[in-house]
Amino acid sequence: MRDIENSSRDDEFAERIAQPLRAPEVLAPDFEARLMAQARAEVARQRTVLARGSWWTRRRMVMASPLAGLALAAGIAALAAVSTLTVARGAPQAPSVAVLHDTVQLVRFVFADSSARSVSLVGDFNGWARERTPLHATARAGVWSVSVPLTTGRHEYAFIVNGERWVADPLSPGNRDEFGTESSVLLLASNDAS
Amino acid sequence: MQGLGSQTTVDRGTKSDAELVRSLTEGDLDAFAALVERYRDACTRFAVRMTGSALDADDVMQSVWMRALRNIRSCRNPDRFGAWLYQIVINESRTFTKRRQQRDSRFIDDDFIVDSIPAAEQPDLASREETKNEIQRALDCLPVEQREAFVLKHVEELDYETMAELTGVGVSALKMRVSRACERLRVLLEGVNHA
Repeated sequence: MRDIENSSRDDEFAERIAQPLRAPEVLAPDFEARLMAQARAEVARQRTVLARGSWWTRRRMVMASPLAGLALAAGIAALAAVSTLTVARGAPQAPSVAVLHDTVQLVRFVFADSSARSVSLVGDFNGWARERTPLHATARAGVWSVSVPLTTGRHEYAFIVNGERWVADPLSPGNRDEFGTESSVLLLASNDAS
Repeated sequence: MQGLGSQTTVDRGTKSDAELVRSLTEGDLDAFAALVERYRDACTRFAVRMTGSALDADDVMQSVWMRALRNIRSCRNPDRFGAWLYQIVINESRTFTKRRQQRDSRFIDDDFIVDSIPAAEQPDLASREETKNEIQRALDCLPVEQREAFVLKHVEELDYETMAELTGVGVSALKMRVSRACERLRVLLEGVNHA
């Protein structure tokens, strides 16, 4: 009872003092001009970094998540990975994910799930848009893949299976966003580092 | 706080948040400018309340928008851009305020604050601006967590569930912070309160 009284007293008091605080505030008149100048510089910097990428010059492989028994070789700069399938409890063949990187920041994402009818890749690099980067079925049953050019740095990604099931890589470092959705993290080193 | 978590479309018939975010991920700075304009007022008010001055809020908001620009691709639900952005505002304001406290390491005496607020001689709170400044000064004396909870609840008028989502703090802890903030503000603003 006392709690209710206190709460009501707090609300009344808070409402009284909060009212003046709800008045709008303005920043310096040149705030947006300064911000947009910074933003233009940032976008220009990002474009420079993108343009500097040394495409098709050096080869490198980074494996974020090995996949057993799966050896892939394809096209330009394609590499192979051999690793172990992860078997989740109760699943005959749990989805597993392999990420193969070629030299030129062309990253191959491979997803294995015998029950998948469609798979797409979502990540910070495609605006998390599920329709933008579909994986293609490979010759091997239940194995899907797609190659995506990526800039160096940190990327987050996940897979959408059958248009609705969100799957993060169980073997890659994970990240949980502010709304509790889990994704995987891929760290792509620069060519200069090799 | 407007546009939190909803697919906001402004009256002028411009693009939704989700459309602007997608354009921005492709480097469209007009989309960025539109988002800045759309969320400027609500974010600015929160930053001013948290930092205590428009000058400091200017720094915080520059940092907030640049962080949003650099990380726009991690905004996984563009329909909820407002909530995503607001979380950045909360974090940046919190970080700025804590850093400033560490830097200044000033001990603020409550008595000084109370004494500095004219009470009886305050002409029936007629000067809204002066009253606001006095309350803001009292707000500045609260621990950052209490100030943040109070502003979100009573200034931005968010419900506790939304506050919990944005801050990552549990509802009961937030209620406690708001209650303690009220308790402390009541003491600090005794003169004004009785005016």
